[in-house]
Amino acid sequence: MKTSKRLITGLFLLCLLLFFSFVFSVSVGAVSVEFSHTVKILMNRVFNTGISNIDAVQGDIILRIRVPRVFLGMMVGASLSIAGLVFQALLRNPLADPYTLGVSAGASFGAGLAIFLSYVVGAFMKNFLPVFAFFGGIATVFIVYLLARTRGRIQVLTIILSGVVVSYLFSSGLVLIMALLGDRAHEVIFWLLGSLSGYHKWLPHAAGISIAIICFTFFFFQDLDLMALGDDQAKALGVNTEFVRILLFSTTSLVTAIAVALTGTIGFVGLIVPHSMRLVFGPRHKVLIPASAIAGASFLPLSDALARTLPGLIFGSSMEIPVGAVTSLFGSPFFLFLLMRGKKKYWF
Amino acid sequence: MGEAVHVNELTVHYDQDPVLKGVSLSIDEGEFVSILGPNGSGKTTLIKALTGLIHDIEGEVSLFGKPIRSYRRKDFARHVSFLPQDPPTTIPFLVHDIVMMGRFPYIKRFVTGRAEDREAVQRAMKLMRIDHLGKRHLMELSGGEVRRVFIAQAVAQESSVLFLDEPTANLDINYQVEIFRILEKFNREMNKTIVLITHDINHAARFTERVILLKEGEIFAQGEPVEIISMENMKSVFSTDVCIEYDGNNRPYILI
Repeated sequence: MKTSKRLITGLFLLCLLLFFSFVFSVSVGAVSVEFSHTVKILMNRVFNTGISNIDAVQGDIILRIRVPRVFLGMMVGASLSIAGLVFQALLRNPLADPYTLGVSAGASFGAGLAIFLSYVVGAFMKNFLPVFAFFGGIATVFIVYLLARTRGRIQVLTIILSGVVVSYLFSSGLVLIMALLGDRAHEVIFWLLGSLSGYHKWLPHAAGISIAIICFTFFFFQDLDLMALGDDQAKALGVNTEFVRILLFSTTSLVTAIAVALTGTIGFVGLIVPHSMRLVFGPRHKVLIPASAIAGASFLPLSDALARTLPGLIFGSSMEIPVGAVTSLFGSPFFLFLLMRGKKKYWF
Repeated sequence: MGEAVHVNELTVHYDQDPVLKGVSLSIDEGEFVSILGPNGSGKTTLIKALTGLIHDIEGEVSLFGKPIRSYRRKDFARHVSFLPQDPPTTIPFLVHDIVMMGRFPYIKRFVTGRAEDREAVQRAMKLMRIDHLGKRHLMELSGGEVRRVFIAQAVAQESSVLFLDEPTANLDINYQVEIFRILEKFNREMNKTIVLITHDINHAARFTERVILLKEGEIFAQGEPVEIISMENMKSVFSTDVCIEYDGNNRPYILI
């Protein structure tokens, strides 16, 4: 079959992109490490080649700072892309993204609260910021779900509206916190912009859960396809729509909350990666799920690498720009290019 | 022939007022039944209750002697297919993929691309004469073709009972007749039980064996078209004066 060959080629190219993204992101940064050194350090770590002439400082920079950061970017990129893909399918809404049900608003409120408490209770509270953000995100989704439930079932439109309303509620709570913080509010703003620089020690556990959930999502590729038909028809064909919706809302909200807790609210990835993959591969989730995960895992570390190096290249300064700004700055033209090219073939 | 669907004292409320009030009926295997009635008489609610799409019902609905609640969703879908009133026309899937969705009740997770599923899809597409459209997008098709795609999906489902909610709505007369002819063929040659809602009294009279006339959530009358489609019944259910003539096969048709 010609089409399946094309799909396999496409997925193979995406894997190449992922590899390139990893190597590139690891080898660029504020401290310049020669590319050949980077490769040597990585090879030594992976294959135990026993190369001896490795600079210890450079080794630490690569293995302890950059590699965890790139891994975090991969995990968060894949998580947000899958969450966006699933939300768009479950809500049958092209504008849905991982934050539609209010995860980001709740998590931001939690993070703001942690920062506020660090001044009121004690500085140690800041260590718990990801925990606050995580539970803020999860709690919000839970509230939204309870609000949208009528007679044991959820209507698509009701849950979107509940998500929007509850998001506003938490956003106003956050604004209140920022007002109380006064001059120190910049800490909250910095968190809101999103960054891959912190919380690497949580990475192994977080990545374990996220990868497991992403793989689990793949079990439902057919159900997700059929839900495009609308609930009645999907049910009549044997899809347990209520169950699939609750299950996948929960799991994808969980990965989103984990991602947001560790990196702040990085926008755009969850919206644009799934749509780009639809433009390239078509509407079938059997392909879309792996494609979105791989594309998201490549896109976010690349954006982050640019966020770390662009200011240096352009202004010669060592500041970092927020990764969320880069995702949209470079993501939008690329997406528009795909949209123009595929205009005739693309309907959500 | 056995009983396919049995309904006993079915009542459905959406809010306070009941939409269906104690409906009882029985449909035999291999029957071709049409449901007629004015807007708001409960036709769609009835068909959705029979296909298990409405949960909050009072009374009993059973399929082949078992309550429909006792079926697992996929198992139920192997027995019953349902075509809603307005199938989506803007989803981005290829025609072939949409018809393949009809095989969902038979496919275990990850076991896609079985030969028997592909053959069932081919048969269904050939039967609905859309086999040349397999690689086309749904949005590129005409209204009649879209309708045929979704009927093909229901055919690929290979269930013995088909429920269709207005399968000919918004179609030109040639497509209307074509779809009724195909349904008639299913019914006669493949012994499928077919229950459909229609607004076209003449089609119901011409093609179906039994007419169920609904009025305000209750069965007003049911029986062979020649008994049911009468001036008095039309006047009381639709509040419209009509003339009734009979064709060569003693099937009634109405003139307005």
